[in-house]
Amino acid sequence: MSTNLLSYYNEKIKSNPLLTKDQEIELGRRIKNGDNNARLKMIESNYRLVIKIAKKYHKPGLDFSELISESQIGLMKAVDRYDYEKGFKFSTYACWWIKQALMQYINDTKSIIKTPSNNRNIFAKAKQIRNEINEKFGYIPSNEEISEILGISLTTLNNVESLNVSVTSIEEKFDNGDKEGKRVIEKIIDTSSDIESNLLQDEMKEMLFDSLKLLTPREEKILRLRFGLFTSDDDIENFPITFSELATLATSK
Amino acid sequence: MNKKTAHKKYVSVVNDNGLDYNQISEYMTKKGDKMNHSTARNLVVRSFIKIAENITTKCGMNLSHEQLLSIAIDRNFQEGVIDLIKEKEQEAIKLKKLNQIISEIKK
Repeated sequence: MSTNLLSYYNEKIKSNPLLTKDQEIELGRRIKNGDNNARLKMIESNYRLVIKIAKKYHKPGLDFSELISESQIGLMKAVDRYDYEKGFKFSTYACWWIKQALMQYINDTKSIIKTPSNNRNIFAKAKQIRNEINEKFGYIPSNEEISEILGISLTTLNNVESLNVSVTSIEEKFDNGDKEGKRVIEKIIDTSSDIESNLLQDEMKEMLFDSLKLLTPREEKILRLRFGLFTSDDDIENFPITFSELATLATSK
Repeated sequence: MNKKTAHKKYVSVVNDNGLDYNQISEYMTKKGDKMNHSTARNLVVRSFIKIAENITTKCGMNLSHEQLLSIAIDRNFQEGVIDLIKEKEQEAIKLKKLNQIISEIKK
């Protein structure tokens, strides 16, 4: 799929050489007048830009063909909004629309937790500032410092950072180049149950309930009265179930 | 542990619903089984000794009467045994009720 798409784009790039500034102005004028052929020509002539920017944003886990499609959407938006009268080159204008479309796509797909775009922007800016300061001064700035630089409250920054966490499926396999690699779920330690101690506990319980059979009816009655093991406060004479019945039930399980 | 309890020969825990040894002896005497409070206490401790003896023997230990007594009057041991009985009893009651309902439906 991806190779087909790339070869399609390569063909288009070969058949549509780069436009000169005059050609761009001419096409821009025709597009403004509603000429669809001019629009198509402008789009096809800028596929090179689409591929170049999409390559920059390509990271593991992102489908390259999807990135190309998204950047193409950005390019189409740029073509529709391009104003040749302002005197800028089309590529200067279009690259921002392509980048915007790509960023939107990446933010929407990279996490299953959807966060507002301004939220993601704050997160990206904070990350950038952190990296820049680390490179320049060799230390990682605190959230207080970053919030001051960004001009936002510390609470907002903390909330934004807590939302932008990476999520991994517990069914996902560890990427060791091994297809039969272990899944994440298999590596998580279950702290709630210890098989050995559970078995020991069950064994102890069985022994205890077995011991209850040894008590005489008189001893059982006294024990029940002492510890309130009767049907209810109004009826201390009757017991819902005798110790020997209980022991039989416990051992038969 | 306060001084009184520390020197007591026999100790047994009691919960909110339980009766004290005097109440137990009065109740049992009323029902025709004449006894005093110390008999009631001895019966409780004897029951725990029986349970402790059975468990320790099954675990391959051969303990003296004094050792068994010290286990039987241990608060944690008594509480543990009673908690397990209560837990199991609740399960058994539910099971019994369920069986009753099923047999009624079958009829």
